[in-house]
Amino acid sequence: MKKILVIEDEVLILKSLELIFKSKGFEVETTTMGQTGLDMIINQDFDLIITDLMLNDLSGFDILEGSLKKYSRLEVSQKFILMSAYHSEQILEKAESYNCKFLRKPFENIQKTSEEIIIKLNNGK
Amino acid sequence: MSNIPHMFHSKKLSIYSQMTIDLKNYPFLKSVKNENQANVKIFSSPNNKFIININNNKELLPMEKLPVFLDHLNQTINSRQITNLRKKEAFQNLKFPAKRKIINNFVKNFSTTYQDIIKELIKSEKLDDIPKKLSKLDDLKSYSSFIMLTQHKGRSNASVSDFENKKQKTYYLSSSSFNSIFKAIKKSKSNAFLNQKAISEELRIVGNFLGHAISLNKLSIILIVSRNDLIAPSLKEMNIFSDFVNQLDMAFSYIENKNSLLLDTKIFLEIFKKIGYSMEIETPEEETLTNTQDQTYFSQTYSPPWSFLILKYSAEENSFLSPDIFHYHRIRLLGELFNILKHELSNPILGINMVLDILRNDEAFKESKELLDEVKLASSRAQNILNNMTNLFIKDQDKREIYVKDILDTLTAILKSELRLIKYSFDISEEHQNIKLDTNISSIIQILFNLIYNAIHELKNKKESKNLYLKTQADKSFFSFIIEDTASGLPLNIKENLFKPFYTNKESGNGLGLSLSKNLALKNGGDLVLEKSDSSGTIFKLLIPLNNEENSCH
Repeated sequence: MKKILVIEDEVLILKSLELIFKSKGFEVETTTMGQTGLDMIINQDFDLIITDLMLNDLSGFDILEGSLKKYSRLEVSQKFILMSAYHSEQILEKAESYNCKFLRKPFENIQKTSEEIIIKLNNGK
Repeated sequence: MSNIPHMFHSKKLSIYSQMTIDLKNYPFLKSVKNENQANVKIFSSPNNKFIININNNKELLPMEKLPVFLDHLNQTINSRQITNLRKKEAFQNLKFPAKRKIINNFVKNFSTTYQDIIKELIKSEKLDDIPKKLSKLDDLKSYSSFIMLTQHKGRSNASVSDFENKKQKTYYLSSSSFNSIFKAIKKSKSNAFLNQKAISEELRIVGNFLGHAISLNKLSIILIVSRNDLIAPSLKEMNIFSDFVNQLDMAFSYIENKNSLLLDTKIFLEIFKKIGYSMEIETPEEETLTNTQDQTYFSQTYSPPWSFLILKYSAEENSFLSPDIFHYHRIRLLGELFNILKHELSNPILGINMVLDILRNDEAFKESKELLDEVKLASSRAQNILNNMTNLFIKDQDKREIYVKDILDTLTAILKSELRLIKYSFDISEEHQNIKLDTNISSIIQILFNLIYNAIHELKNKKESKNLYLKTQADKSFFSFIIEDTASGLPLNIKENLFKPFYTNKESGNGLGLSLSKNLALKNGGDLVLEKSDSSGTIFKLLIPLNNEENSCH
């Protein structure tokens, strides 16, 4: 069973994503804290990691940087999906430099967004 | 008054800054007006000069008092205000702590060099001391020759005042030699000269030098400084020298034209360049302004006795009096706040929406589906309001296309609570609603917001006939919004000065709304006009240029 980690400090979004992916038959771990998330990434193996960029303790980019200790840049770009309500040029540019999929909040169509994520998950490996 | 220079009446002249000063602090001005306070206006003219005017164009600051006046201003800035700031955390936390030092130094230098020179020049018999003054400038320490040549018109020779290695020499030079040096220096655009043989030999200097030539009615002056070596002057030295000679030019222009006080813009530009961007001087609390319009607002922009914030904007915008200055300030702040608000609220709303979607599709909640749909509608509406609000504060340069319908939605969203107070009708045909405007959305919404808000302000206190109508028109080249109210019309004095800044009939207003709106409309290729204003009501018309290829309208 493929394993997904969701890092998001808005609990409702976190729980929704958890429910959606569980209903599609994935194993889902969640956390609202960036540091906990990063520890989980280092100590466990996930097929996909979805993280918000603006967390209370760390930024999503900190998590990406921390993950580079374990994964190569290519692996990071395949494993991570970034999401943020802030999409200034700077942020988009930075996100692009990691070559990760970027989801703009609010998601226009949650159903569609989750399908996209699942496609990425199935193609990634 | 006769002693007001001609430039003063020029329409192109605009107020650069204004302030009210307490005459107690400037005793020499007391003779000017038998009042306790005076208004000081600094005008900028198209030819890059500044004019200081005291008391509503009636009296000019006596020329010989300028150094004293500037000194007072500088002292005030230097001692009280900067000390005040020093205590403030904000100032200590400036990213560039060097800034404070720069300000102090600059203010000090500015007042001393400048003032001294003027004083010297006023006592013109001491003109010969200028080379010595020049030699005392810190940044020209490595220079050894400081030479001033003066040629009185009609005389057969020119006098040379040569301050070399701390010794003063005076000798004479033939007029023809003077003229050839003068021409050579005048011709050059920069002040720096490389090893010009003819000049070097005449003046007994070696290598590179800095020079400047000044032509006056009765007198021609050449100033030369040299290190007597072959090293080219540094940029800094060139700047110091040109600052100095510019001040000199200026000082002479006072003497030659006693009626006007002209300050070179360059000097002002130097001030804010050196002060940098984040310099904000706060008005000390005991200094109250006589201008009662929106106190906090003016204390930020017109901080007496010297307005730094205005200078800052001028440096950026290069336009002196435009209401846009205030507009940018306010909108930028609001824009930032709204941006944060939008993003911070978006997240929880998105969360609610996501959960609702899950629950609505969950068989277990089938019975509550209707209720959940209602909640979903409400949260979508919240998201829409948020999006509409931020339409107001899109960056100015972002020209975007927008449907008339969306403008109306935004206006109704942001004015909802105000509109409740009156009777309104937005009667716009579907055809017009579907017209796409290619314009600055945020400007247009702000203008309409402003007009409608003003109208509501006038209407809401009326007992009856509180009607507001918004209509639209479209012709070949313009799409127009027509805002009509049934309030009692605009007072005559307001009507005459309608689109001028600072006229207001609201106690809390600052009189910028309409002039700003007009400016924004013009900037976007449209216009804002007053169609009618009498006891039965007021009609404004906002015209927005149409892009005819996209819309077919009748």
